[in-house]
Amino acid sequence: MLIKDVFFLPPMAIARVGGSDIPLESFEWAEDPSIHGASKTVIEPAITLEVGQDGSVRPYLPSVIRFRDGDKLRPTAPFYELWAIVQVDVDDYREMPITLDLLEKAGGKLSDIHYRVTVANLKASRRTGEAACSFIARADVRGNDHKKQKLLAISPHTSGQQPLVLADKPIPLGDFQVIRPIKVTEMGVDLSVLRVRFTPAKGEVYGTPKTITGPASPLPPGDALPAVTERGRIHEIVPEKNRILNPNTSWSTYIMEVSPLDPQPCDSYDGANVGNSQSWGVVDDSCDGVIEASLIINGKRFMAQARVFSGPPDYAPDRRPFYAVTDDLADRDQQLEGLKEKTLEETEADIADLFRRVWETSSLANLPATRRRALLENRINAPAPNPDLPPTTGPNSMTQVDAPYFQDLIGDELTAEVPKPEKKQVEVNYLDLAKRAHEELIDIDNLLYFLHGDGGGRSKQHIIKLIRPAFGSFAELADNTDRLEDENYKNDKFRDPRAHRDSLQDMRMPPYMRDSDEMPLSLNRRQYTQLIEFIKSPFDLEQETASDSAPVEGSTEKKYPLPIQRRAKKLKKKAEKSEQEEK
Amino acid sequence: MSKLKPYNLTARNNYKVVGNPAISRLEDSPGNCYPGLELDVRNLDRRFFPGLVFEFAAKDDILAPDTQPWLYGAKLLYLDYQQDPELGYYKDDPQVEDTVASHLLADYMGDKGSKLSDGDWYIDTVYQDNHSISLYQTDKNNQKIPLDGLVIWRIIRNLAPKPKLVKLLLVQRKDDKILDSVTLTGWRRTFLDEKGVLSVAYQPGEMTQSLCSPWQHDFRDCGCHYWASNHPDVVYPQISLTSTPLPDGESANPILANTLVDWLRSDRSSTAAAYGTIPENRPFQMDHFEANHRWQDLNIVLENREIDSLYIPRSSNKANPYSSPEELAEVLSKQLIPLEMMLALEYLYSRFSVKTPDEVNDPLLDESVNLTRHNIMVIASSEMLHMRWGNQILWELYEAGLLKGSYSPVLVPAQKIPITKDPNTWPNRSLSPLTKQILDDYIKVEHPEGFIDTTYSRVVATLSLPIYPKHISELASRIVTDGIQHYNHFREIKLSLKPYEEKDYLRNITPGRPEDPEDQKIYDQALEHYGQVIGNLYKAYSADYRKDLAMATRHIAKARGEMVELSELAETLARKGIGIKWPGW
Repeated sequence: MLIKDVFFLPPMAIARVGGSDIPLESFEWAEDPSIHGASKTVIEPAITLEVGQDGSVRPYLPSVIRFRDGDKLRPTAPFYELWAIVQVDVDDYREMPITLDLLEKAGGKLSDIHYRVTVANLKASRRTGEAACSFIARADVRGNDHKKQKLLAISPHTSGQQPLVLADKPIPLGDFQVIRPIKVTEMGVDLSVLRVRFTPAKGEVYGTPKTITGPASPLPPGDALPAVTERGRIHEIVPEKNRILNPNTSWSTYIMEVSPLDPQPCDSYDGANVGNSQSWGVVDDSCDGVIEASLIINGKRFMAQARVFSGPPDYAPDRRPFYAVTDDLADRDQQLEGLKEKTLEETEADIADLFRRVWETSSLANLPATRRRALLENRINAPAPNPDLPPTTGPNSMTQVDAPYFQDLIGDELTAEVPKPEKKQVEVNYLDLAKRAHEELIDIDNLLYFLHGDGGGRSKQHIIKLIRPAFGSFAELADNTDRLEDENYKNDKFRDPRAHRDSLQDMRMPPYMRDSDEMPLSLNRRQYTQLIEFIKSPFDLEQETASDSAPVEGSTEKKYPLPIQRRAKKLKKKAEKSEQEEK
Repeated sequence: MSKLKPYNLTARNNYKVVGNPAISRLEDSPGNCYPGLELDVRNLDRRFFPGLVFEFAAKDDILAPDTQPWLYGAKLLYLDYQQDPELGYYKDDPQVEDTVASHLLADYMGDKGSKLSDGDWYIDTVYQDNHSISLYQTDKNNQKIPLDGLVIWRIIRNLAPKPKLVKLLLVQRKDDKILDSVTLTGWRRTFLDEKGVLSVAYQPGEMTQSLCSPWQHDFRDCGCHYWASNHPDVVYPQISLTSTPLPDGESANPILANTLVDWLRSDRSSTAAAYGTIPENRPFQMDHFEANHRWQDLNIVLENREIDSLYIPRSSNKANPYSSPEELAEVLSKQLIPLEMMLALEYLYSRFSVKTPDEVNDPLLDESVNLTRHNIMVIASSEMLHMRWGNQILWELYEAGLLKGSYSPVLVPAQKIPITKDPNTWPNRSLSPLTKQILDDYIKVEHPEGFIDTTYSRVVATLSLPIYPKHISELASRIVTDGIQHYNHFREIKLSLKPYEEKDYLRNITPGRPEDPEDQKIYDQALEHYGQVIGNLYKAYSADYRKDLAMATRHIAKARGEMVELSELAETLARKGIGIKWPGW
């Protein structure tokens, strides 16, 4: 057996801070199995690894999931497995976890492995522009050292610089542990696989000796009190034991908006929006970094890397974002190949999953509040030349007046139930209506009938119109430049960040949420293209009888049955086959 | 089993590592940037061009007026090519090939690099694949000014990856003067390596550097509302340990079951409903600084409900399945679908008996009648949907060959109201105003242990058997769950109307054709629309079964249009004390 390369699984993971000493047990997303559960997304316990005193792990399946011990939340502490690409024959390469056996057969031993972890928090230095305001922790651990290693961070600095975190008062950013592999298999888990674990910090905040108490702005997000007022309740900012930072750094005198290079939004630090917005010099113990493994076998070094991002807890662990980091990375690096008959079922599964995630997010959103805020921003910042042009950007957005978008969204019979904006109770009903619009679409059957079947009487074009287009590709944007002069410019195919209308919120889906540039959020280009192609493109020519379901502009030439039709045919064939077998 | 889809970034990212909870995967992290998150995806684009590090200098508010336009744009922070994995310099290869990378490296090490190391440099124009975008706009005075950094970020973000090349025109700017320029040719960085890991070009701490400090600040303050999946806005409050929830997990207390509270509230025991605006909720939420030490008091939310510390997983419960597809079809077509249709019509009738706010002239009752009318319309509409789903289950059973013969739509209302489990005790359907007595009857109809719930539970149990296609049982399960919500909605209505006498909120309506000729005209039109609704539904369901989806779409659209007309006429008549007696009633 010849090791050709090594790598970590997962390549990247998220750790989530928590004050408890016991990490969160494992669980997976699943569909509610109960009769009354309507197949909604729930979590179900999964095999958990408990780390023992000697550094080895014991697998077990929890019957319940405990999120908190006393008043402390449990942290999410991911394991990483070390894998190898192994040549088992002349042309036979396989990926497999590195176990004690594999390591021995390949000619290596645990002490030949060297792990290095580097994690850092650069938040203060990003704002001040000074490296001495960052703090970094490093640990170097041998593969046969199974003790928990504390990741204690201090600020790098050169002569004359003021370090934010002093060497004698480091900030713990978490722990790193090389798991002791043992030649045992329990519950189907091979415990001799080489594993490491990152445990995040406790979620503490740190400040200088002066970071004691202060008035908090009582205003809604983003609003600032007049500079000479300091109204608001007074709270302790940092607990006494954590007032350990050097008070003589530029982080304690930082004030936003002095430099145009501030990260946006810039008022996101303790001290912002009160008085003169001077920073209290507060940092947290979140971080991100790299875990490296270096394995020397027969004089050759193999390197593997993984990433960890250590951030806040997920307070709704059975609800997923519909636009995740993974969606973003896929949109950047993976070209969409276009809809193909042979991958139609996979696309169908992607779309079904997308709509399920949309419901999951929307089920916890305060739609009336975000709608109000978004429409207010439209009005204050940059009213459209014609705010009543549907979909409207004015106060009539998502009301009966916003035709036909609103009617297509929730159905005519309920449209009359939504009072016009000037009437009371408009907020309460939006929560019900959002639920109604999305909840039934988590069922694949309802979703397919919605997109391809009778669609509740909506045409495909109407369904497409309800979805806010993604931003255009670089090439599309380049070709669009001349059209931006037109103040009534509106493009239903893609959005342009330079176009005024595309910066305004309206009721198209997803409504009233913000994207990374403060623009109205949409699906990304990959998600949007896949969804629109799925709605538009596959249809059965034989079934075409009405102009309503004729191919819309831009659809592909390829024709094949709709998923509903395909499924019906498949079921019919299966039924015929079993009937024949019975005979 | 599960249709929850693992994310397909690469095969390696799909791999579920034993011991890791699902929330440790990147698919659980919003692909956004605003602070308080696990990483800021905009940091990827700081190093979009190998060897260079940019910052996207932007206004605090992207829509705010330009006060210092020449400070904004994609500003070059520094050159960082020595250890860039895409340039290969660190490998110290003596045989540098004649590639784009080697030219770019030579540029950095030569005059161009020297120039770029001094002064304030910005990207002026980006070129890719015969396209170019000049990063400027025209202001109100017709002056050319730079685009905002975030607008540029979006343009850069949407560049195509390799093998397409990227050319940059960089200019040295001082206010509105251009002092010098440099052109470089390279490509957009590949963010993940072949092992699925973020490029080593990104330093530890770099992906989180632009997030909130501390993250608790933004948990209190973010106004972006894209991340309810990790940071909920509104949730149902915790159910006390001493009370038994309903079978779908929701509270048996109709107020708690129907009241969404603000998750970020400072008083964690408060069950006051969340307001529909941010400023109204704000005074009752945790403050900045307060969140620094109280973030662990915020409840974990599962199934949209706050929990204390323990989550008990949902378990599959049992009901007695029907013995055959034929028996199942009999129950659906003879009992359940007709019951759904009858209830939809009964509920609608009762709903039209309730006064509108302008008829009651009492600010408190005003809210109660609003709530009542809204809730009943939602329930009636849901019953209509159930009628369709019942039919859909039937036609899909025929499609799957589990029933012989062919499907025919079931659109006949039941005769009796199922207020008990024993059909022999059911009263006749009645077309009654929403009296306190009839409201009690509706609550009995929708009770979690009532006839409809238990019968549908058996339908779900039947459809969960392996001979039935899986997707069909989900429809039935949804009907059962909706029923419980109807039950709580009706009980909420009851509580809301409790302080009032029937005469305060009910119109005095009588079913039947009026005597006034003008009213008769409206009444007849309403019945005509009703006939059209039923006729179009019949045609739509038949077309759905034939998979003539275009035809089905047309008839559903017509049925909905007719329903709206019917609803408006019924409201007009009800204001005059006239109730519509549905044909056959």
